Amino acid sequence: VPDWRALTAEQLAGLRLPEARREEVVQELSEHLEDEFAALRPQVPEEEAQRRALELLAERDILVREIRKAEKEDPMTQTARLVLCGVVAGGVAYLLALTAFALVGGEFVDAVRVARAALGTTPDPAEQGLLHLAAGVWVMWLYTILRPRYSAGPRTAALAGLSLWLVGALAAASWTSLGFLPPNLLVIAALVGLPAWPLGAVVGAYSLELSERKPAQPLKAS
Amino acid sequence: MISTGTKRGSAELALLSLLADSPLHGYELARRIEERSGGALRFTLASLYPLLYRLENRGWVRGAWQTLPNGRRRRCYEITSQGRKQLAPMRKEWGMFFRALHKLAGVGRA
Repeated sequence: VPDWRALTAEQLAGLRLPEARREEVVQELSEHLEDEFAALRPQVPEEEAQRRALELLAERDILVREIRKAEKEDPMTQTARLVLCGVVAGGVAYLLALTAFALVGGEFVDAVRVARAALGTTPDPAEQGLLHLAAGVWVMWLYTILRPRYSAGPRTAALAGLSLWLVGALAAASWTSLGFLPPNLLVIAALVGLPAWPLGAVVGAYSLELSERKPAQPLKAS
Repeated sequence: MISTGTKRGSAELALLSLLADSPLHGYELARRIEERSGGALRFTLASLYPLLYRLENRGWVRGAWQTLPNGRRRRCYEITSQGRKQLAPMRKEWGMFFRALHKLAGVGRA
């Protein structure tokens, strides 16, 4: 019986991976060859079966290159991806919200300034930014939850962003009902957030889809 | 709209669909694809294993070594819940793709 492990290791000499991982790949592929050999053996002489099983490694250069690419390409876990793309979504939403406030939110900004002076507090833009980034991660998580049902794409991402905006607007409305936020300022805050979060979520979702879709190979028709 | 990734992702769909039925090792996956497609589709080693490793890296499938009674070891793959979540929209998009081809070129369910 051929030593499939040795034969496979010899054929994959160019496969440079961490030793333990390399051993694992060689073991797995040698099992594949052995299965092929066992399937052929009842039909053809042993030498012929061995030759045909080894033919599976004829594309070994491509195999080695593709395995190395696969090992390198996607080291990111889905959690890391969610956090990074969430940061992108939150960052975009934050910048859009800042821009919108600068353009149409003068009244709101003035009111916040007066309230701050009355309370004797100082603004912390970094904290605001961090809150947006955290909300961005949340909205990307929500997108991945919605995606299986509504399919991947900007519409689902916008829906996730819109739902975050709705929750924020309802929270702000509760402050209005308690008398802390005048209704006209609530409307300004809500309108500013309305385009920011759906657009931020669309950009974040686009980066998430890109990060997931690198590898894809068509089947080979015989 | 059918995404570029979907158009190129026939192999992902094939693997995830088979693994959604039952856990399988690489050789069995390749054999079943060939069998079920009547020999029209086949995976080479260079297309099968790199793709399985990618799917595993993404968390869509999980591989685990099993030792058979004869002492041989096999790496068996099973679809994860995350992989199942990916499969549903993938199937939907491929359905759209084939319907579009049918309208365009009469490519149907022969």
